[in-house]
Amino acid sequence: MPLFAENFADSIEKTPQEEKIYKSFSLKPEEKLRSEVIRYLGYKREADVTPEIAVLLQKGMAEVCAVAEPRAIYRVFSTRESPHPENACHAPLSQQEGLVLMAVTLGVSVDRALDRAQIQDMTYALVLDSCATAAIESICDAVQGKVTEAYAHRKKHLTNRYSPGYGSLPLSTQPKLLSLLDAERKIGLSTTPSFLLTPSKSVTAMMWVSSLPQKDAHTSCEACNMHQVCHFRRQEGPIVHDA
Amino acid sequence: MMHNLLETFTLLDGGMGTMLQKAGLPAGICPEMLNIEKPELIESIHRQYIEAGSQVVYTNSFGANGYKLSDKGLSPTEVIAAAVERARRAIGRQNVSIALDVGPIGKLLHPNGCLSFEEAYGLFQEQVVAGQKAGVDLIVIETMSDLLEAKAAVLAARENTNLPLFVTMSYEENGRTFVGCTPASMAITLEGLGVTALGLNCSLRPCDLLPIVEALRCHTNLPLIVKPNAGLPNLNSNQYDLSPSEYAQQLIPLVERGVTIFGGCCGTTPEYIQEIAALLKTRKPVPRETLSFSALCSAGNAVIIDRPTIIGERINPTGKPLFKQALLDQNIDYILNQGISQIEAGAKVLDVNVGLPGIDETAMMRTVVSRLQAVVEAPLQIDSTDPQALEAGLRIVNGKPLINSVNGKEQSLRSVLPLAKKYGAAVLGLCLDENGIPDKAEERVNIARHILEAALSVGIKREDVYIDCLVLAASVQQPEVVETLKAIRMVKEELHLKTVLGVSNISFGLPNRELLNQTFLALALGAGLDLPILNPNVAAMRDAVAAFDVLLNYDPGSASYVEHYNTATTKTPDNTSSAAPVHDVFYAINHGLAEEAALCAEELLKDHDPLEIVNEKLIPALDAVGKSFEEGAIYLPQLLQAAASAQSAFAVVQKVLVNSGKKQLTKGKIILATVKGDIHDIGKNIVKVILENYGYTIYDLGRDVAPEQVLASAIEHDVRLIGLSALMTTTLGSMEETIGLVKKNKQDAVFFVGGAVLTADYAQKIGADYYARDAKQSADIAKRVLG
Repeated sequence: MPLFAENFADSIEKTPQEEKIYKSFSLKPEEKLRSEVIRYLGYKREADVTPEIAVLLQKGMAEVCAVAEPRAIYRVFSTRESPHPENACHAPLSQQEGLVLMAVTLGVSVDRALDRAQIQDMTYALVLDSCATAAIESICDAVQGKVTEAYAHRKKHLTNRYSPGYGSLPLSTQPKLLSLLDAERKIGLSTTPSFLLTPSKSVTAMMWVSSLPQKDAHTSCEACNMHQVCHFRRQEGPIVHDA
Repeated sequence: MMHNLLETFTLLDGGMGTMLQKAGLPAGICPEMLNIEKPELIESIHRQYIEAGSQVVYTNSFGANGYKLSDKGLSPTEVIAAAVERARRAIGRQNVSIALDVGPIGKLLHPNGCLSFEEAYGLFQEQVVAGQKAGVDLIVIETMSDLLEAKAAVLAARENTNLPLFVTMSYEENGRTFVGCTPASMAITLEGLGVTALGLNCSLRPCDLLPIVEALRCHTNLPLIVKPNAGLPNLNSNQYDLSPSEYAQQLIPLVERGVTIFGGCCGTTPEYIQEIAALLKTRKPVPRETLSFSALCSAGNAVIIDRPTIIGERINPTGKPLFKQALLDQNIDYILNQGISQIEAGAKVLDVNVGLPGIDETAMMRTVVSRLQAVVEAPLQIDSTDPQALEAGLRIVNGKPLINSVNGKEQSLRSVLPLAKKYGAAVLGLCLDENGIPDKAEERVNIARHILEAALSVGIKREDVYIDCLVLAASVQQPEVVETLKAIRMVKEELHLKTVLGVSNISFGLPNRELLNQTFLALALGAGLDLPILNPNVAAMRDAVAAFDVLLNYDPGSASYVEHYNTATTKTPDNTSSAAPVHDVFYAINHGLAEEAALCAEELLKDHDPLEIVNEKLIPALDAVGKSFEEGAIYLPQLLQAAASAQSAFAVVQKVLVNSGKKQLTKGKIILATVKGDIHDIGKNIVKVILENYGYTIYDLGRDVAPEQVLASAIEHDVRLIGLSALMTTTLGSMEETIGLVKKNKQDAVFFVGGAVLTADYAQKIGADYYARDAKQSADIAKRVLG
């Protein structure tokens, strides 16, 4: 059974119960970010990174941290539908407990930097792109952390973070999610007619609130049904070679 | 409008959405439909604002554009007519004006999104025409974040109506809009475009607006508007955190800075308007100092011309075979790279000239300006002798450009000056007329005076007229060199205009040109030259300006000078190109050493045929790297670095061929495009780098490319092999459509496709001939198809 019912997005109540906006994240070119960048670049081991690429990596992380203008919003809604259990991703949920929608963006300046890099030096552009991807993920984690913390105080738990494109939740839900979040006005995030987010280094995601502890409250590759084939699987997972 | 907006206060209205929510309407409904569905409610909101003291009410039409209404079953014209009718009924016989409210379209323009400038223009046109027809008194364009979108709306209003025009934009705490527009650029650009008043709305509290208002005030003489939010929302109580009296209190510093037009945005209600009305009764408009300055800007960067300012001259095909070739091949990246490298070398403004016989200059100007302003923040100088190309550039430029050029000929004055006025550009006047370039300074100044008078007579401001006194080669007209310098001095002293000069012509026909250029530049700067046009990549020229800045105290504490030259001395000298390579080309490519690879190529050219170098040195080296990549021994970044090194070796070989007038080497032609709807093109660009280095000529059509465009390009350049990229499932349909259209009309077309969500099976299903898993496979496919 698919995780998301077909009319899922329409089942969300339009008026949010809660809202938080963040416009000041500190992004630092630190080790945790670096190891993610290396993973996005496809390296299996840090030792495979040549000195020439390591220089670009340093430059890329510094540039992303300098030019990014990270902004995030989350809102809490009630929904008439709860997600179907799938792959034991979460404990049973009841719809009354709420749904957290979030949107995060690094802003247009990162897109401009990526455009510029692609004209000047594609190797650097590739590295910079991975740096930006790692940065947006780290901001997502930071927001998720803040939400989790807020709910921990109320003795509530959160499921994993799901985004459009995952499972049966199509990309075409993006406009709906953005409008529920008023994301265009609040953080300058919108979508193209083909449902690509602009600025491009942006994420929309959702988590359910539950009074029961969740089986896997933090993301791990093993919990994902793509984990046998994914190129970006983290090292701790079993290595499965392409057929 | 009924009164002088600088000498009298004007009170606008408050939030519409806030009032609708108060009336119990849920979030997420379309407020514009209420003009028809709940007319009494809208009328009563307008009425409450009028009772509270609003002299202008905004129609309930913020989102009444063709895009946002597309699924509502009503046209913008119908909705706007209803909205205006609601306001009119609420006003009755009172002396209150109706403003047509126009908000952002809801889709981002290029380069941030997929909407074209002219599509945006068309949507705004529909709204303003409807507003004028319904009888509004003025147009308000508000909550804008993108200056280019605001410009499209302003042009739509200017070209289709004769109504007064207010424009307000939304800023963040960092003093920029979401897409990076600064208040200075907004003020300079919109004043140039002829709006009536400008300012800020939404987003922030009144007290947060102070620095932004300050920045606006320093860059415009127009009346200023503020329409802020009532603080931050509390979702539980539906209240905002500023009370009406706190809100009015926070407006006082803005009154003191000369703002005269006030209102409220999100969270404000008639009580807030009442408080503002009470406040304004106790105050008088504070007169502002009249500003006079010369400035050019992009959306994010205003350049005030108050010191020597370098205009980069390299985006121009004259005398540059590689640039000409790039124009013919539509190799836009080559042109953009010229722009970026000049900015890095110190240019503050970029000249853009893309005129070449045999190309569509108007289309090229549009493309280059649009793409260039997405990657550099410098203001542009639009340079063309073709008025149509000139206008294409002026229309789409995001900011205030300089036009290059007008001259003293009547026909030139008649065709160029109205364009400068309409698009709010500064204009560069050349001191020549029907009789050519006069020898004597006095006569050149007379032409300058004539140009100035003609400009003033069409309404262009004196600060926006720049003069080029023209340089003649010292080898041909040696006595006239001093006349140029004298003319600069006279233009500065007698006409008080900014001066521009293309410096390097001075040395034409003489040896050691750099020495003459540098010396002449120093003399011209001393005579009062403001904007030298030069190649900033030449150190001698840049150095002269840097030294001048120190000596004339434009570089306080010599800070920039010290910073630049202290580090520069530790760098290797510029003449590395004459050094001998240490390694062979194979090693250089393998290790991603671009400069070394270029040196190797130069060395090889001494005793090898160009084709031999490519086939027997460069391609085998690339093949070896590609094999390592396939085996997993190296990763994508190294593959790309190797390709970039091969590229620099390849460029050396090509340059020799092009400069000697021979045809470039090519192993065949390939079109690459990221399909319609898809704006992620890093994958396509990776493939491009690899294929270029195998010696293929690439026609890169960019991203979001319509099927028709691929077909047209395939026919125009007679290209058989076409590579398409799509990142998302939502754009695979465009891929299939493109393949279908091209194959139907050009039977020999061969397609290879790639992208994150594609599989070999799917590629086959949509009619592609090949599926390329990665860039290396693209090269294998190209080899198979084209050899």
